[in-house]
Amino acid sequence: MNAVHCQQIEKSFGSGETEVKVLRGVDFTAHQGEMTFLVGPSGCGKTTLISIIAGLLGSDSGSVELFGESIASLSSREQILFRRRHLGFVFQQYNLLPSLTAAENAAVPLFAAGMNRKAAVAKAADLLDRLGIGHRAHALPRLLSGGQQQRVALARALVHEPRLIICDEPTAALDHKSGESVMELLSNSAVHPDRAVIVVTHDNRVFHFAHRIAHMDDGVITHTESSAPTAATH
Amino acid sequence: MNTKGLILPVIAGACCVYAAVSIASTQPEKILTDPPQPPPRSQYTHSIAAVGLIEPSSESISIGSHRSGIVIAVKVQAGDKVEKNAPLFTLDQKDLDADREVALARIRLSRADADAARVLLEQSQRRLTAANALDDPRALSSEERADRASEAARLEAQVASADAAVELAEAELKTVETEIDRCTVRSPIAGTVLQVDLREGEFVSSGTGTAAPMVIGLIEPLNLRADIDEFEIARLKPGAKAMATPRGDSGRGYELEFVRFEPLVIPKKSLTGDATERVDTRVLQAVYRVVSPDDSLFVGQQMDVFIESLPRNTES
Amino acid sequence: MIALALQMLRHDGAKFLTMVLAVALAAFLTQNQASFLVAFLGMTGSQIRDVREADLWVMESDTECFDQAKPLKETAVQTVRGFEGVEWALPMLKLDTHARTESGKLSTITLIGVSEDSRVGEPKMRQGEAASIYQRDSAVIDPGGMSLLYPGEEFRPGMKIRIHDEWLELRGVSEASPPFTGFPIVHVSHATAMRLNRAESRSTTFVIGRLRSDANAADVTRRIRESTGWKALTRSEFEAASWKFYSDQGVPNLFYITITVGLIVGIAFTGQTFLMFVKENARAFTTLKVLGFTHHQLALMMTAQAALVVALGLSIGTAMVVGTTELAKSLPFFRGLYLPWQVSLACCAVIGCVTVLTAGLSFRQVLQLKPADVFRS
Repeated sequence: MNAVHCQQIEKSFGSGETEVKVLRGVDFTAHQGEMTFLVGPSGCGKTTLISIIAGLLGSDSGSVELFGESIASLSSREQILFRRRHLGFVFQQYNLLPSLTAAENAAVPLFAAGMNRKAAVAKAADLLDRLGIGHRAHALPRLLSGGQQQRVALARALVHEPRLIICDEPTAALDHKSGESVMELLSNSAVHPDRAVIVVTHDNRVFHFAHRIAHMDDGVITHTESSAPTAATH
Repeated sequence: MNTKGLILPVIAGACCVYAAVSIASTQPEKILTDPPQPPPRSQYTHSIAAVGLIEPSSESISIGSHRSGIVIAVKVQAGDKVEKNAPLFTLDQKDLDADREVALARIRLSRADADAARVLLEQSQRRLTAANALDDPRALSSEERADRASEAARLEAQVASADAAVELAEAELKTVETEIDRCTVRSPIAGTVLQVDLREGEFVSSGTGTAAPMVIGLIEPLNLRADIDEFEIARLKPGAKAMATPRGDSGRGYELEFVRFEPLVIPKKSLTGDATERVDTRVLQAVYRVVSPDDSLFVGQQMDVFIESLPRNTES
Repeated sequence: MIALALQMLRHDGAKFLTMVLAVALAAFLTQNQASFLVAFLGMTGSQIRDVREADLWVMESDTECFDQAKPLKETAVQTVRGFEGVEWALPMLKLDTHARTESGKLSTITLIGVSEDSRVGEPKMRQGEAASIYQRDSAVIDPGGMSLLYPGEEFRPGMKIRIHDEWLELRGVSEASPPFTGFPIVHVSHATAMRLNRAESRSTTFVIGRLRSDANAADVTRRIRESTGWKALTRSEFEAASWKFYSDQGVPNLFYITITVGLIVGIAFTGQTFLMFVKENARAFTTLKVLGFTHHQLALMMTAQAALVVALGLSIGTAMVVGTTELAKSLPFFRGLYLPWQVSLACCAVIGCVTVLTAGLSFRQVLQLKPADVFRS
């Protein structure tokens, strides 16, 4: 089953003379068990597309289905609950809460779901352990390196076992080595038969982790290519 | 969780406790306490309150004296029980004693005068009788005879005059003796001496407006005179029950029995003794008999009185 | 989640402290001024409360407060005693007169004659015995009077005070509550007061009494009023009347201004800082929104944050008020000062509500955050 299925999505910002058409009929599909890269130059509409897929933005026309369910047909509250349950996010700037420790940050989705704080933090710490930064579980974000912060963010995206993970330029703020290891972790721990991963990036050094690469330019998907991920032997 | 983050909450917690304790301990108390000594209370549902004075049932008799003079003997003390006409005190009577001597001498003198007159009268009567026995006109002229008759008549009048003089002298003696008797002041009733403001050697004057030297009254039974505000008169029930408690000792209650109302409503006399008191109230005086007085009730004591009454118009 | 919110707040120590102190300042200003106001106006009832035994006050119909009272006729006490529902009644003589000390100090004083019958209205004593006023030519004076008439002197037996050309001996210092007028309060026996009362010939200023426990206060006072034309009030009614009499004369207006300013300053500070806090944490709040926090949850978090600020601020502010109050109480004039719990509660409630409301305004900012902005770097 397709995890994400978009058809003819159009989106423009502003109106009248200042109207900018960002998406001009995008068809996009992401599959479970795969890591799908969405690549293209800046301003081509990648971010708008994932915002629409994640339900953070409405589209002007076209349809988005996540796991067979149409996002637009849900109420705003149902959208939030859907997002909370099924989606994980990794951001370029990590977006960790500066006041929370690494483990608490990783546990935020569990907090949102109303899980007991202690259990949530324990579960998150466990996950951090598996991601190799268990020793920093109780450090505040500002004391962590960029690579460590992104791992915490990754843990946050995984901790509630979502079915779709959306990563927005996960390596853009990192040096090559850290970016490589984060992507390695991502491909090792996020890819799962029931889960789809969408990675927006223009960092071609990490393309080799992709199962499928969708090229986008000027508001449309120009072409999609499949590739066998060359694992993390680098 | 670092300790730095706890400073503020801990300070605030301490502040909160401090504030709470301080506020709790500084709130003014607004309780009703009981009076140190119980004030007088009415035992009746509807009552009229009044103030009253304990008085003798004879009322207080201020003893007066007919005469002014120096006291030479005080025969009683305050608290003594006296019979009617018992001597209370005597005044100096030396001047009267002298007057009495004079009067006695005058009696003796006038009696001697009368005796002398009577002797002369007998003599002239004898001579008249002898003249009448001689019926010889030559032996005694008719003129002589007439003279003897008129002589006898004159002496007779003289005797009458001398007798009157004796009576006068005797009356004068009686006057002096009455005066002497008045030097001893006697109790007008059988009662108790309530007050003695008199010592031997002091001067007693007979006029009014001076403080009485002695007060006497009948204190068995004791009466109580209550001043009832004229506004309360409408609520009075004739013969109603009444209770009185002494000032400052409302624990002791005395039952009262109605005697009479004074017929005249008078301006309230101040019981506080302040002469400058302005009168703004008229009162009806009611006299009650204290049913069972005891030793701790005294004449002149101020009492709080409650008289059972009719309800007010505004009361059910 | 609430812990999460509080952690966010405490992480921003400077703003947290600013907000707490702003609330504390508002709490301090409002409660301080309100307690001054209440304490000052409360002093109008000092002498009423000091008669701890009486809950019924009967007075001339023109009498509006304790300090400005016309006398009643002498039989008034008997009349009041005769009313059903009155347990007992006693006369109280209050004189406004002048007193002079041996050193020549002169002051207007309030002279209170305590009925020697049952000693109702006897003052509590700081030094000496209250019962000593029943001795001839004796009086006791309040602490305010001591400091006014005998500045710098400690009480010692044998001190004299001259009232109406008569020398009375001071037998002690009373704990009479400070009067609104600030004049010394001198307690003497009713008889002494009567003797000193030459100018005004009546013996009764108030009839004080106790209602029977089963009596309906409103009914009894109404009957007394209707039958006699006098004013009959319960203790709290008389206190309220005295309060109203003075507050109608504009005394409290200045306090109202300060209270309002304190409230506005504190709340503006708090609201502004809260808004800045929200703005600076916009990214965090947006992230939380994206990660599935509902508006309801966010509102709860912000309420918790506001509540923490309010709780800490109110605690600190109230403690400051209490502290200054206790300091001020050492001055004779302020010895009646206290923070009524009702005032404290009301101030705290108002500040709390308004702060939470301003937090609500800040919450609108959170609502307006666009989740899609999360991808902006």
